[in-house]
Amino acid sequence: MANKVTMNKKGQKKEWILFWMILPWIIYVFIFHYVPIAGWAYAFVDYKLGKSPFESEFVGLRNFQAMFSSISRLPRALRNTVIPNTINLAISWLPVAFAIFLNELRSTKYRRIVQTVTTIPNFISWVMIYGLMVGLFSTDGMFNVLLLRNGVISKPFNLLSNKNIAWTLQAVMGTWKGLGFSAIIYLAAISGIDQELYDAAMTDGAGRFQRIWHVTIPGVLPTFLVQSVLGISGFLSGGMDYPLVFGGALTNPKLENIGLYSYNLFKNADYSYGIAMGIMNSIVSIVLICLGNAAAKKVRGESIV
Amino acid sequence: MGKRKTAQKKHMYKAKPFDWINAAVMFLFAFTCTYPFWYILVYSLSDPMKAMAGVYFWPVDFTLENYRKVLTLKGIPQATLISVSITVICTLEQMFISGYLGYLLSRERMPYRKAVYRFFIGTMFVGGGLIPEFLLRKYLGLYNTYFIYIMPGVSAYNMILTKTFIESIPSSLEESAKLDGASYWDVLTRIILPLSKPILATIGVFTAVGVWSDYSTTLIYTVDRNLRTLQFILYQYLKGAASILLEEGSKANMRQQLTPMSIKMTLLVVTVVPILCVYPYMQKYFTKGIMLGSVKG
Repeated sequence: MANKVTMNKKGQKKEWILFWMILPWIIYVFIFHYVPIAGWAYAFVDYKLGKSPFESEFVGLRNFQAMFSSISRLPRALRNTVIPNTINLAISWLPVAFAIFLNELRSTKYRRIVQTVTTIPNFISWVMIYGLMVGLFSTDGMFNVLLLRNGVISKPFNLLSNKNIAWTLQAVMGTWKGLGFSAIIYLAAISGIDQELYDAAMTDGAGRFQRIWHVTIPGVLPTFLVQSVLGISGFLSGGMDYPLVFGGALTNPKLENIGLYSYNLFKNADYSYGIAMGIMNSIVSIVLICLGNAAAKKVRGESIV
Repeated sequence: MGKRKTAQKKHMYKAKPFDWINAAVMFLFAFTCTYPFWYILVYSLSDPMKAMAGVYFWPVDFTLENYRKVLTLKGIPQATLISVSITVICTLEQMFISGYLGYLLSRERMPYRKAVYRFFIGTMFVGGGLIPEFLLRKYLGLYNTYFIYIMPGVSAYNMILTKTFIESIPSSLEESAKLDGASYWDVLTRIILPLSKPILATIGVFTAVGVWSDYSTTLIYTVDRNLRTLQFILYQYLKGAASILLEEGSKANMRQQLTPMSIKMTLLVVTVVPILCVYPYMQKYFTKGIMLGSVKG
């Protein structure tokens, strides 16, 4: 092989040593990222831990059919994934509004402080955020102590395990965590708007709100659309972190989403069924990515994936 | 913000009611983002019994006893050791691996470079999922071992970052080193990695925060109580406090002087503070990173 001189497009000699240097990592990635895909085969057998998959009984599509049986919690998990995602979609304009109003602040220093501070929650994990909420809102948290002592309420309220507001709380917490960070990209878009457009608008006598409406919003709209389209692919997937951390016996009927349901199947060693569900989820996600991509092509004239 | 606009504004601008309302609303939101952190700090510095009766802006009976006691609770020193060590190891590992792969994949002389590159990028789009990955690791004997925490992770995203960065380093540096007889390894360790410090630091900071905040590896891959991380213990305390607290605070006098809430708040401060400490460094980088991404797509 070393004798064979191969050239690349620029006419440089190929160096096999570079390939040998990366080969161990190719093998490593193959084992830990690609071999597990072969595990999808388990979805077609009735696998129990401790038995070899080859000894397991082949059951065909039974695990897939089980998803639609009456005991499956999949419909509920789907609902608990789609509803919060829909709420998030409905309020996805909030970071845009936040960026615009932040940009309207007169003092650059104040603006920078607000931006710095509001971005922090994005880097705090859900466990820690739950801890903050326990400190402030649990039955022996700050607000309950404060209100009980002043006689405003006679019984402690329990915000965190109230099933009726579980989705609202989820949306509020998600917004609190992500608002500052999501706004950064829109602030970048706003700073990219041609200053002459504002000057022209001012010459034409446009007030502040007219300038926002006719210059700033059209300026950030393309970015907003791209972000929305990117969000479509995740519409049927939900992370398990929020529901696992914030959920409890009372709120689980509202919070157990696809992510948590998969985890619970795993925890109950319901491997074959769990994998079958994972496969379905992957297929749906791929379809959604393709749809999102097609939508992006329509919107921007070029694909994003 | 263009310079011209600000200069112009300074001349003729007078604050209107809108500005005051806007500034006030911004203040409120910024307050909700800071007060919770201040509250847990104040609570952890207060006398547990007094704090139970209400503590808001300033510690009541200032004390550091909570920290002394919580940090010596059964299981906590061990968990601290695990958390700190895996954070350090994973961070160094991730920085090196990203630099190594990014460098090799930026060399056009590598045979099959395109295919190898796509092979790595593919990990971003396909994967077996939780259960197959778990079964594989269990089969390989990694379940319930310390190694599960520190096994090298290959992040295609970080690899792209370093590759893009390294491609901007003038190739003349490498060529002259090669003329002097340096191997690729020498070039990587003596020229490329030192010059890639900015991007490696970014990757390092984000990896460190990710590893430090991770509780799910413990949840999924371990059962041994000695393998718990601080983040996982925090999760356990927050979710199922009573039974664990009784078990952990085995010494009676400790139980008397600590309340479940004071343990939770103190441990929370211990896990949050390192992140707040590196936050300024993160902020420096992520603003840049996102702007780059927004220009591209």
